[in-house]
Amino acid sequence: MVNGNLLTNETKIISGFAARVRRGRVWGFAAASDPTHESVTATISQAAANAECLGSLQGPMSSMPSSEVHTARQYLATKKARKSIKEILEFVAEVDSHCLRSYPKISGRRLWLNCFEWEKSFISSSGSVIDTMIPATRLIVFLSASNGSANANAHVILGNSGHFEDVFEHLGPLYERIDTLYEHLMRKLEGVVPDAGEKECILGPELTGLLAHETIMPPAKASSLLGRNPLVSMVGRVVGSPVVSLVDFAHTAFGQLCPAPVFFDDEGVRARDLTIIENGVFRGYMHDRESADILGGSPSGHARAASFMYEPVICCRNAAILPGSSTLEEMIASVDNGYYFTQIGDGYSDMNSNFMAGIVAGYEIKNGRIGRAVRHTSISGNLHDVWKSVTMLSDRLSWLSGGFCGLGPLLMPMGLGGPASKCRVLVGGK
Amino acid sequence: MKDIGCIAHAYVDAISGDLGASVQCMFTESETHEMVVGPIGISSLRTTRACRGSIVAVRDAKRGTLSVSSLYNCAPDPMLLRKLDDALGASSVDEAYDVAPYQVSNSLGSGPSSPDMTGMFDRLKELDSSIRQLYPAIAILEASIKFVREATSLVNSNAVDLLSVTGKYEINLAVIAQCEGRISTPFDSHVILRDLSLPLLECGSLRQICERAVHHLDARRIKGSFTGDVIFSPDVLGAFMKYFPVCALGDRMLLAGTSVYKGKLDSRIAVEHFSLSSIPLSPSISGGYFLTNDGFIAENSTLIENGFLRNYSLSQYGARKTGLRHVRNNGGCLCVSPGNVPSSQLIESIDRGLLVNGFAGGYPSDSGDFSGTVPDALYIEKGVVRFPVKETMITGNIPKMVMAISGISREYVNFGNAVYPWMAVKDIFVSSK
Repeated sequence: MVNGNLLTNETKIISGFAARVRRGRVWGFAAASDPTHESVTATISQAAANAECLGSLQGPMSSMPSSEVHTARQYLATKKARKSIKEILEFVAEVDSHCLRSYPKISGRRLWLNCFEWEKSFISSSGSVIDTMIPATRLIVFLSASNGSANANAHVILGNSGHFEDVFEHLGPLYERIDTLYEHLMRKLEGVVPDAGEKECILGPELTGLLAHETIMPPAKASSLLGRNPLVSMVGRVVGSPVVSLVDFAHTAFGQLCPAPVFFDDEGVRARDLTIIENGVFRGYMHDRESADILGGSPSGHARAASFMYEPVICCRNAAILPGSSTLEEMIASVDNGYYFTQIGDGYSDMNSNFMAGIVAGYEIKNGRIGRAVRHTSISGNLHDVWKSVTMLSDRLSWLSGGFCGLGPLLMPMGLGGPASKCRVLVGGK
Repeated sequence: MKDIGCIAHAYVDAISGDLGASVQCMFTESETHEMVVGPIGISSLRTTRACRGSIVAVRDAKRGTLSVSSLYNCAPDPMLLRKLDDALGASSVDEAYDVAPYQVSNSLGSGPSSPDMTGMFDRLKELDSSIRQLYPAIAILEASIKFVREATSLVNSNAVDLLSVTGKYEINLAVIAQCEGRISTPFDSHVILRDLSLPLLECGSLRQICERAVHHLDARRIKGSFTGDVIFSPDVLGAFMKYFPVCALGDRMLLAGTSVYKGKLDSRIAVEHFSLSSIPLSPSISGGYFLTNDGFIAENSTLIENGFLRNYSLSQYGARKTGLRHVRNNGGCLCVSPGNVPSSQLIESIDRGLLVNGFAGGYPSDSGDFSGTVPDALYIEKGVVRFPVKETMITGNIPKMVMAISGISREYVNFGNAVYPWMAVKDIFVSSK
């Protein structure tokens, strides 16, 4: 909905069937959106033929060990009465009206609500039958403002795993977050371009979480090692300060369901939490069955398929830096001249752990106090250098309200979280 | 393949008859065959067959959209009709909602109708072995060749009946270089082709990324920060040019009132020698399209001509809401018109700056501010390329950037879905540690 105009009112139903067949060390894959018996049979035959074709070209190969066998059903459906599309659109209109009523200085508003349900059935020749259904709901609120000489925009992502009825049960907490967004937007209108260069910064929980995610995508994918000669493993290397520990949670963290819960991956492997960094030391890679077999690890439930049209690839689930013992106030007070970056745009990292993260909200810190807002910028650096520079972590972990990991054309639901972190990063600006 | 035209007609008849709505059905059936070279050789052969459809219905100035992937027989699915009816009932009222008016029936097509599987295998194998032979420091992270055939039927209740059939090969290559413990940043590129007549290494910028990956092993930090001239290469120019049709000139920002180009039609917004078009129908574009998402036969669109804003990129709905001209174009297939100087001359003209081949900076802000790291860039000093850089960032603003273009090369790269030259821009802020 843009300025009260309903641009999109779309129901999307994407369904289909995929088959993977293994011959030695090659895969044959086939997928089809037609679920008829004939189509399913033909798709399996096509996958087998593809594997046979490649296998014959590659010559004799050893086979892969057999997979785990599980029978499970994991449906996270709401227990509340489901709302109709009309009721959900009325909710969007109500939030839009709230923005119009409560924020007189905005020049534009855009609301984007997505209600997802990912339902999968996994069946393997070794005997596994696993059915899952994971819902998620996200509302992104974009606000724009102009003061004649400057334009500014800001957004907030709200939501979590779960059906709409559970995630947006009450409007109060939602409006509090949008109020905060508006306050930031007003300050951003008067915002300054940050000073470029390496700075002491406090990264908010979302940003710490994004860097956690970028730390393990792609550098901690075991498959990233396979093309290298010689194969250089990071296991045992110091990649952060002793206060830094990074865990990729499968589905539950600190007793709460994560934003992108994965109970079984798309190779039928039971998903388990994986400690990637423990007290600053790199501990382990994310594996799928193939990389675990080649590199001698164990599959960790990280083989994830973005849809039936694609094979599983190694991808994280809910990456988080574990919280520390400082309060956010103590952390800000400890910075003489730096920045407090609170909200992320998007991020990128490469195999050498060089990263970039867009910043859509942040403030100067001068003499231990929050100063002026900063305009659109980005931060970059080497993730290991950043983690080694961490001196303080706040005592509270927050999750970004859901997000997607972009792997080429694929978008994989994932969670990212962390405490606020005090570190040194390269800030873009002038 | 199925008769998707028959399925589309059946849905249009059912929705206009049973639901009393104006309706547009755009159904696509696709077939892909893909071979993949991974780190340990050719590792996967994939075949996918899928249908996808988008149904847009308008009734009593209310609009509902349904997107589906399972369209496999001519009898409309009652469950889908119910969901569409629900969406229509839930919509707000807007007199600007509509489907496209009548257009003469047409069948449009381009590219091959079936894959040359032997050619695909041979070209992929040749690419793999050529890279191993010519660039021993290179490791292929992934190389793939995919044949994609798509048939799209566009039918609506205003008697529109259009068919588009396209075939193309999509090539993707991702590499790193490694030598004596040093590893380059990953490099990737893609190109879309109608045929496999040329070795893949000669297409798009696939050879260039291999060369740049090897050079990147010697990447160094530059000291401090400066404001200088930056040449954006064809590999990276798209990251900035997409801002125009997708953001600043599109429905979203014009309806929200946040576009910096609001009210600027036929005004100068760029230097005189800058022209930007969307050319999906050009014979030089292998990955073009014939039909727009809002139900029209596509047309090429000149967005910026010799520095003047000539067209927004508005859908039928966006045009009705703003009172501006509708453009029968989805965006994409962008072309920056080549200039008249060699790219070497652009480099020679720079006192201090960068040649940027890769940019990671996410989405620009609505006003076009961008800031990000340049994982693939070369430092230029006194007209000479000195060394590849690392841990370097650039900051700028896209609307200001196109007003500060100092030169555009006569050479260009055709990626099959975009054509970009090298473009030199003044006064970009460059920073490092």
